[in-house]
Amino acid sequence: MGPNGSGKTTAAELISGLQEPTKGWVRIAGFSLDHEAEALAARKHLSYVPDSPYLYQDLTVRDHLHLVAAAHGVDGDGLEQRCDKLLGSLGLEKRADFFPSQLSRGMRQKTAIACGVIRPFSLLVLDEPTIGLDLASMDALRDLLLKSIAAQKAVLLMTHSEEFAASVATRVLHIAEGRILDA
Amino acid sequence: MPRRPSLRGVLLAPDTSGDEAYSPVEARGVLALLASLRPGRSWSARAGTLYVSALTLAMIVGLFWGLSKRLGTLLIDVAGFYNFAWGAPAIVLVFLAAFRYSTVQGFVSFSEPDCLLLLPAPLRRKDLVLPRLGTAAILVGVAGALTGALVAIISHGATQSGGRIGKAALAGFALGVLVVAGSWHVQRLRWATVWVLRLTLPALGLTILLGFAQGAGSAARQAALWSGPWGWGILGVASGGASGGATYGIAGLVLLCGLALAAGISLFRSAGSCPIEEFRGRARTRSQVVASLHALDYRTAGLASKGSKARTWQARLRIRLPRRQILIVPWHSTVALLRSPVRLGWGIMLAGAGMVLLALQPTGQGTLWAGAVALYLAATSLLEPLRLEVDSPATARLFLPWPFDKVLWLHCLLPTAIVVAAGVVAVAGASALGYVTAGAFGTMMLLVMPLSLVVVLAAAFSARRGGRVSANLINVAALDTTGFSFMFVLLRLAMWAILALVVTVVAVYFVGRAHFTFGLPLLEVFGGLVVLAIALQRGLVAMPRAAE
Repeated sequence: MGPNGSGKTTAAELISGLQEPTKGWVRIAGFSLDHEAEALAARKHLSYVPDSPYLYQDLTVRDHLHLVAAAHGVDGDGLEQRCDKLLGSLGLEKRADFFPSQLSRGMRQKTAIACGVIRPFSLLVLDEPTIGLDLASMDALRDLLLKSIAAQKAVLLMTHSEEFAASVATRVLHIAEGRILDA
Repeated sequence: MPRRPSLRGVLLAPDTSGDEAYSPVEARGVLALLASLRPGRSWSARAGTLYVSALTLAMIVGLFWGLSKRLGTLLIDVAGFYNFAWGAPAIVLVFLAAFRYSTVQGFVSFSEPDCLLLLPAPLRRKDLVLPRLGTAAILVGVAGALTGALVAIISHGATQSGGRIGKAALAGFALGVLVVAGSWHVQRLRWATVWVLRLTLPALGLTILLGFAQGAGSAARQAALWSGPWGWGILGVASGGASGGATYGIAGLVLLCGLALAAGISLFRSAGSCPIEEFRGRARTRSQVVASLHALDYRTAGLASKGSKARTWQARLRIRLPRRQILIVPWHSTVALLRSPVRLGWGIMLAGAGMVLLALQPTGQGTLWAGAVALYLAATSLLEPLRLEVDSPATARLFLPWPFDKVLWLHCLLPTAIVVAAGVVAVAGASALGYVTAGAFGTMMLLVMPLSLVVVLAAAFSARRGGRVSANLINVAALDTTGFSFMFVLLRLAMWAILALVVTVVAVYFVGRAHFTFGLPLLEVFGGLVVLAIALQRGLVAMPRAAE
């Protein structure tokens, strides 16, 4: 958690390999992001949900899940059922065949979250995932994150919402001026 | 509260580095899936795109055909006067343009969803990048080969032997591969991007030197041609009658092909090493530019392509506020220009060069048009503070007590002063060196003030549009299938620039002809000023509502 401009998104993008650190290094599950061979393994463990949902305008919600699953080597067996279950848990089951332009901001955000969790991961990084979500959707997201934590996955959540953070986090860190402060 | 320095050493996921090596997902399969998921375009939609493209191309060719012929005459006019050869400079300019393009885009591009869904996936990045790089290298190489063959045929006529055309085509292909390879390294290496931006001006200087060196004598020509890949490909042609011209040509071609081969290998080896950050920044820029161009909003497109890198040392630059209220706008202009020293430098250079070109050959139409264009570009460059004002019209309305037309006048003061000063100094210098006659010097001293005012005001009127075309105009143009409304939109965009160029050229041309007195050109310049004043009076410069 941290105020505007404190470096939450920068930290999330550095950890996710979307930005290059000017100094220091990032290792995910013991693998460095600096070297292509190790980065491939690190990317297998890492899943990132950005603060703005960037989606292909010509693919439906379901297409996105299939694509992300394929890109992470998820076997096709049972994928359809997993997609349906995940979409149902996020309240997207009736929008599965909609294109992004037909979805509201919140629906697109939930699609991005679904893309983040349809694939296997050890670390899930979410940057302000509650933006644009209604109360029911926030509850669904909370359940999803608690299940991930229960399944021994690490979840790193960047948020402004103290209430939401308190309901899912085992540890709250504060960030200011690009530095992590103790909670 | 105790501070922890960073996340270094914090284990964010179970350490599995001891696990067996991870085998990446096959990229080809994922790309095939992506292609299969996308709905195909119908034949009618493709035919529609083809029709619109052909129509647009025909209109652009029709519109610019006469202009391009004029431009060709202008280049030959200017180049011939100074014995300037275009071969090597043209190749350097192509390299420079491609490298500059790669600082904001480049030949390998991904969309924003690609950057967040595909590139972070455990796919080999090389498998995603290499097909795009290979296609670019082949396409640009073939374009280079065709250009090379065409230049060989044009420069030596239809009697050109097949061997020569083949060599020219090979040189063109090698140069194309070099362009793509160099551009790729500019795209993937941040330091290379920085150096391309820094070395742009020196590279332009090199271009001019190369052009003059080729026309300066045998030794200088050989030195210019051997100095880099820009000369190696044309050694055989440019050496012409020099002894050993054919041998030089083959040696140059071998050097060029060797370099292109090395570049191709480096392309292949480095295809996997480009940070997502670089692709993502370019994807954002592209989507902003495309969206802006769809709305004919050239200003936003231009700003998006430049990016927004914070320049703290410039932000620290402070100038004390003037006591007189009326000087606040010129103060704003001064601060904004000093914080963009490159822009200021360009403005001064173009203003000086423009005035000198006008004075050199007052009756040579090529140099006159070149001088007028340089002068107008100087004015547009120096009027950036006004553009910033137009970008956020509400700011001027909230912070300044004057109507916008007065703000516009006040923003013109500093650019006019700079253009006049640069022009006087440059023309005086050229006169002292003997390039400008005493008569031409006197004429320019008389014309420099009114001309500068006309050009700066015209550029300011054009700038007040904010680099945008009103939505109403676009809607009307879109409904007209004949295309005439589109031509009207284009004409409207260039209206003030055309006025400034015509006034400048006609004024100096009349002065250059001995049997005309100064009265007529001065009358003509002041006529231009009257037109601009009437435009101002009739509210043509008021801030458009759409921009608010």
